Amino acid sequence: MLMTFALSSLRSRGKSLALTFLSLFISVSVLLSIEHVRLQAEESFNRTVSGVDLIVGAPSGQLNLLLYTVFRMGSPTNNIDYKSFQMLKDHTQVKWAIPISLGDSHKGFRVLGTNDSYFEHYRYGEKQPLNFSDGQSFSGVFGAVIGADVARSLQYKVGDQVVIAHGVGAVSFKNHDESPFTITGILAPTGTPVDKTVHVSLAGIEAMHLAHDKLEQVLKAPANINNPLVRPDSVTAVMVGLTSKFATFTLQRELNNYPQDRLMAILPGVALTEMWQMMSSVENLLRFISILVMASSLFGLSTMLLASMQQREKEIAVLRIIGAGAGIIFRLILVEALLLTIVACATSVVLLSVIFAVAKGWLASHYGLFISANVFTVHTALVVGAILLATLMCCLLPAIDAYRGALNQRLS
Amino acid sequence: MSDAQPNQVLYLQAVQYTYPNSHSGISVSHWQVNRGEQIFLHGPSGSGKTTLLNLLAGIISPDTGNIAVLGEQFSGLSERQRDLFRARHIGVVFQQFNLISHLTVAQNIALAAHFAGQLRSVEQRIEQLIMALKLPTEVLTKKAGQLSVGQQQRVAIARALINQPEVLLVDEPTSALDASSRDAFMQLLIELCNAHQTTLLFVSHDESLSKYLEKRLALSEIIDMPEVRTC
Repeated sequence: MLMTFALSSLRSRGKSLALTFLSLFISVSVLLSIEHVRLQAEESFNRTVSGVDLIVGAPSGQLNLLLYTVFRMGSPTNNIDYKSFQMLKDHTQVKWAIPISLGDSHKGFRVLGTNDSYFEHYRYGEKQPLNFSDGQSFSGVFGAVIGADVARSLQYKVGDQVVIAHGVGAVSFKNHDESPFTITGILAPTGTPVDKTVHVSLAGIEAMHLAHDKLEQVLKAPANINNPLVRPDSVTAVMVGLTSKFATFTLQRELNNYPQDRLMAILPGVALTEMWQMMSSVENLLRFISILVMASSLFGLSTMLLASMQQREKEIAVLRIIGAGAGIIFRLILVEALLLTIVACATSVVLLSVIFAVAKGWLASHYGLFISANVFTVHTALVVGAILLATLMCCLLPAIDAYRGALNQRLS
Repeated sequence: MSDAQPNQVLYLQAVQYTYPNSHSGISVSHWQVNRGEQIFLHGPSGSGKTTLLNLLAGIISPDTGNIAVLGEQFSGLSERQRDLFRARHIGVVFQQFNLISHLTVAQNIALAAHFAGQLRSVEQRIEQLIMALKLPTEVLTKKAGQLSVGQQQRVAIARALINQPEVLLVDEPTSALDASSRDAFMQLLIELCNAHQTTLLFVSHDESLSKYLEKRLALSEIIDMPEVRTC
């Protein structure tokens, strides 16, 4: 009965109700989307790389090294000797080492030179390995394996030829068009920057940077990876997996003091945390603003209820005379406020699910944000719970007002 | 209550009430109404008619003295018990605005039954009452705000009588009605009160209405002159 009454009473208040609802709806949506994006970003961030114990590159900053090796962002500063990679690969405490060579792109997607160990040892998320959705790893000098996003947005399939451009801009003036690469495999989607990468062999990277006459010689025997002309003499970085985690710090110190080459080894976990902390101040600011927006619309709700109290004096008198206690009047106001907020929350959860489902691909390709469209999480439930609690608090004032009014109500 | 008699419906003894933030008030030394009586109580506006009804309905409490309805002393009841007692035993019809305009007529009447804790076969009784008040049954599904004032006042009687109260308190119910609908309203009201043997207290300043009721009283006969105290 209380529910029927509250619903009917809300419906009878047309315009002011619609406006209050809109303001609640917008602020709940802002709050929920910021919270959702924040959590999802952190999750997608932390799942980009897994199982890599050390990343070794030329000395710069640890964030810089992390950004270009893992997130394919920014530009590598310096390369390290290929001999250093070999040293790492043969090190007794090293289980596996993945060489990475960066600096080129294909239509805005980064090109990463590596070898078979990448497909074998690279892990993301919960230690998940890379899988091929089509084809296989490259074998010759001019093979390429592309990520799922590259294949989808450029409509590539196995057997297609791609030309790689020098530099990392979306538009490049220097194309290595004498040495097209053939796609040999497409990786299954991972929800990480791997999806947006074109992988080629280290030999391929060397080959496309050769002078015209040398390139022709390589092109005569494209399957020969061991051709001395395409033997790499440097790589950008090396991802390292260790036999024992306990050796991490020892090896890090050893590499940082390596006399033959200038090396820097970082722990991806530590660097990820440091980077996330940097972002968290922005994130807290956003959160703070959205909470303020929320608070202001809750005050709006409270104001609407307070303003309606004068018109409702007669209604309250009728309720009192037919035997409604002042407590019922008090609850009625709270039920009305809660109903309105619950509907606003439900609507915005539905809207956000739709928006994220639609914008998912775009967010991933433009910002590298892999946001799940599933808004129905425990965290969302907690946020909604907090909003409802805040609604109760904000509407205590009008409810108490109504209660007092009901107690002093006269027939007239 | 030692001095309560079984047919005493309304009973006031040495009641004094002062208006809040004011020095004036009303006082009743002794007055009682017996079961089945239909009393027309008239007095000019501002003479304390409405305050008397507020006291009898248990909406406000007197500063001193006893008020008992059907042998139940209001001072012995909690706020909540008084609300429930009112819902079950006292029907009230005001001058205007008796209904909640955004609810349908049926919902308005059912709400009164709800607060009295009567939930069984309400719909059937609502329909019977509406027919007894010579209203078409279609009005049940209309919003109360869409009815004419005359119809609203009749629905207010149905609302007041749904819980078969022993007492009906009516405050200037016809002041917003024209002459012809006033006659129809009064006849229906008396008819229904007779049928249910409801004790009726009808308060109005319009003495021409007294012809419908058997007993006529001036407010000044029961209220000792409205008090004006000076400090």
